[in-house]
Amino acid sequence: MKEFALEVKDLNVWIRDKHIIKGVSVQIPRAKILAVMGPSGSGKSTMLRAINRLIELIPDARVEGRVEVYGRDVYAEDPYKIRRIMGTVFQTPNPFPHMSIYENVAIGPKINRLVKSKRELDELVRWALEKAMLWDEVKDRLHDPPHRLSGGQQQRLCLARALALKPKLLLLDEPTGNVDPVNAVKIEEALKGLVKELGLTIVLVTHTPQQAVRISDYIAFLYMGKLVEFGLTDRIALNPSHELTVKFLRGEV
Amino acid sequence: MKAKHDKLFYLSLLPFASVIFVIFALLTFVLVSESWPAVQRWGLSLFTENVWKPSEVSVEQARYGLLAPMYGTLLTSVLAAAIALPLSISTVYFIEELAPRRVRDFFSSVIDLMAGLPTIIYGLWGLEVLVPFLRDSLMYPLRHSLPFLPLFSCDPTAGTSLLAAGVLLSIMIIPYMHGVIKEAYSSIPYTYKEAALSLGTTRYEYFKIMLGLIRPAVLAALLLGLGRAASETVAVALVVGNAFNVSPCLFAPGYTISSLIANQFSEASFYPLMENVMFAGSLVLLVIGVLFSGLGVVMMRRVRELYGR
Repeated sequence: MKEFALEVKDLNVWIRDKHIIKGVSVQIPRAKILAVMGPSGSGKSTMLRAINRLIELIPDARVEGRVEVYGRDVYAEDPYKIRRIMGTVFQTPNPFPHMSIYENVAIGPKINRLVKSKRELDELVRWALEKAMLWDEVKDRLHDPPHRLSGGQQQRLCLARALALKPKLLLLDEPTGNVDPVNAVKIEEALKGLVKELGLTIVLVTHTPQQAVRISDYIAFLYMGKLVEFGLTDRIALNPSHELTVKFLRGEV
Repeated sequence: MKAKHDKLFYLSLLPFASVIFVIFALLTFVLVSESWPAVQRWGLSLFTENVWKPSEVSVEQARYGLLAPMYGTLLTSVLAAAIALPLSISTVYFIEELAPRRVRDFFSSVIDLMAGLPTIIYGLWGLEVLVPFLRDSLMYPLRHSLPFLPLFSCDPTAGTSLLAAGVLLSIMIIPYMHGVIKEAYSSIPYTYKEAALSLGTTRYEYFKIMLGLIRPAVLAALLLGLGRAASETVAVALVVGNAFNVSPCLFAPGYTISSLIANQFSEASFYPLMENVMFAGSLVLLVIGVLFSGLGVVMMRRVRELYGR
């Protein structure tokens, strides 16, 4: 039997009495990029937070259905353990302001005891910053506070922070939404590299169909909490089977 | 300040606002000028010696040194802050992260209420309930099991002691420290909480990161708590034992500057210069207060800057 990197089965999410995600099912193999696209308010971010269980931070949120990451039932384990195989990058760059650039990347491995020595940690921090295509820009000022960096650099720092956990699945919530075009391209390139070189699986939430088509292997199109269409990106881009998808790709919804 | 009546309004309120500064300046002036005769008479030894020999007859035979009450003030407030800080931090975590909403509201209201209670209530409760309790279930057991430690090297005869004052003060300053830390904690942007949790943090690691984010507020709480503990008067006067002691033993009765003034000021006018000695003591309190509150305010400002508020 083939094991999926991510398998979502009949996912339903309510916040108070609002039904936010309505019976969504998707599954993707490893080393692929899934783009979850849809207009704002379609439930994309909520779906992401149901995968890494950050949804539980919201009082009165209720989740039904099944989420499996690399064969592990996400809702059957301790949330902190299962989150350690996933890395998350958020819409707004949010490096910890009280930590230096270095510490921001090092905090994850430290917590998860991924390294045994300072040298190993240094190497891992460097590796993560390189993979996030930020190393060259910060290697001489690793101990500066992160607010000295531009917004786009901060976002790549957040990517490095997530990568330092050595995750198998990377979740990104509109990572280029608050970032200038040059940095957006850099982030997209970094993501493609991660899939190719490390075999990482990526779930990327985006509201722009262009980005989805540009970098993903699979597309899930969400509209008002419902999964309108799910399939290979090439197929959906060329030959969408639903009228709503056509409209969204044209920028009409 | 464009419109004319705005300017008038501003000018009409200015005197009221400035009155506060004038009062503060006058107060400082009075404290300094009233302390001066005592400082002139005994010099620095007024603050470095532990003597209390009043004389009704003449200044020549009198001798004063404020070391004991200064030591007591320092010891009791440090003790209070050391007990209150971890308790305040853990109540903040409990209320903000663990408690269901209703329990949270209830606890918050109770803690706010505690901050506003008249301090004499704490004093009476401390004297009647806390002191006997501490004597029987903390001081005697410690005295018997660890008699070789200087901290526990004396018998807690009445129970009124530096330790009792420290513990009572800690209870009294918890609401303040809790309030300062809680305000900062609840203002931590949501996105940092998500970021911390997404790294696979356990509750404890998560809380450590959150505390790191509000470190200036924790420092501010500590400073403001110390300042309050040092200046608290009535409750301490009831439980501290009122004796001129500079003993390392926590069970010994002691004095604090404010409890000394509260106890003896009414009779001080019978003894030449004694009033001035007490003013010198209150000058010390003023310096402590300004220093700690000032630093605390600076820290609070840094908390607000941290998230660009």
